[in-house]
Amino acid sequence: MALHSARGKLIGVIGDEDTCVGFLLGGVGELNKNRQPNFMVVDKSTPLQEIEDTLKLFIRRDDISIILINQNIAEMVRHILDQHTAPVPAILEIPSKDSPYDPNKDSILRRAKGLFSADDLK
Amino acid sequence: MCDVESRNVEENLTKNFDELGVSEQEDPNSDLDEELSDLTVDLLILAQDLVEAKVKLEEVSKNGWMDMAKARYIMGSTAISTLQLPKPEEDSDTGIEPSATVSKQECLRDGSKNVRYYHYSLNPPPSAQDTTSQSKQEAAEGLRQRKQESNNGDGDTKGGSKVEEVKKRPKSLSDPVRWFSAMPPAPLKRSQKYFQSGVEIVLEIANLQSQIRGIQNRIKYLKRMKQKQTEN
Repeated sequence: MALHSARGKLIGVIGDEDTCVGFLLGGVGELNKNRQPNFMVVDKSTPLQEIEDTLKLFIRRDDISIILINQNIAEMVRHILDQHTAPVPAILEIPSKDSPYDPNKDSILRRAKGLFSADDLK
Repeated sequence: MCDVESRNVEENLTKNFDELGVSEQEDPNSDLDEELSDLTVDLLILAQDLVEAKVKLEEVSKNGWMDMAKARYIMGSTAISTLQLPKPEEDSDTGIEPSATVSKQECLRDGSKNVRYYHYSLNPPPSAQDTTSQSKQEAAEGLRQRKQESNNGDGDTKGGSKVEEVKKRPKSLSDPVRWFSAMPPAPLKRSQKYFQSGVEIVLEIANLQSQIRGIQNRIKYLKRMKQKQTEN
């Protein structure tokens, strides 16, 4: 772990095949026979429990600072994202090839919108 | 005529303040309200910037996926997939390390010094020259150690272990594009460039999100303070 802190933190990716392959081409991937990968490919047959477990694992890992997750997958694990209030790791909802980005579903923007009620504006 | 009218307006305004029982100088919530309104405006601006950054990431990713599809057309449908990704079980001397790593630093936001957030930045990738020079240096040190051991007359087991340490090479950075092809086609390289710029946009988004979170925390704190003051 000391080696990691000297080297820098990782960017984890949870997404469909093309998203994972794309960001791995970008150089974020780490793969070692001693350590677990920092990415997970999700397809139609991936069980929800596996996605939840991987997301919780990435959140617990101290060598991952940023987690990228496709927005359509984020919808499936919204309950975990809403519970995550710590600043690190930062969880970013990114668009996927099949579903464009929808700001109304973004948990960060929804939290910002929910900060103000009608009483506050009186 | 205008002066008389303006004087009348001023008198009416002061009467209204007196009726409310509040004078301008004695308003305890004015500083809080001012900071709250400034932070609210900042929050809205940052939210807009966040949406724009994500739309930009979507554009860049789409271009990357388009070129990836072109490369697949050239190389075959299964040539660019997760099947080509190196598996953790493979026994290889050289591991694969990321070229894009991130470092974070806690900062105070310019302008609103009470807002703390984490700033993410991309670390420079270690160059190939550094790894080769390191390996040469380690090899030289290993040779020196071996010579010292032969002079000291240590046992064979210790000498053997030193030789093994020299033989273990440091992990080299392999270009991810080489996982898919030894001679990658131009569309695949273009796709890589798009996703590399995508990683930079990801950092921009992370910084915006971190600032939004810092402002949200500060707004919650100020609202609590305001509520306490009104209760008192």
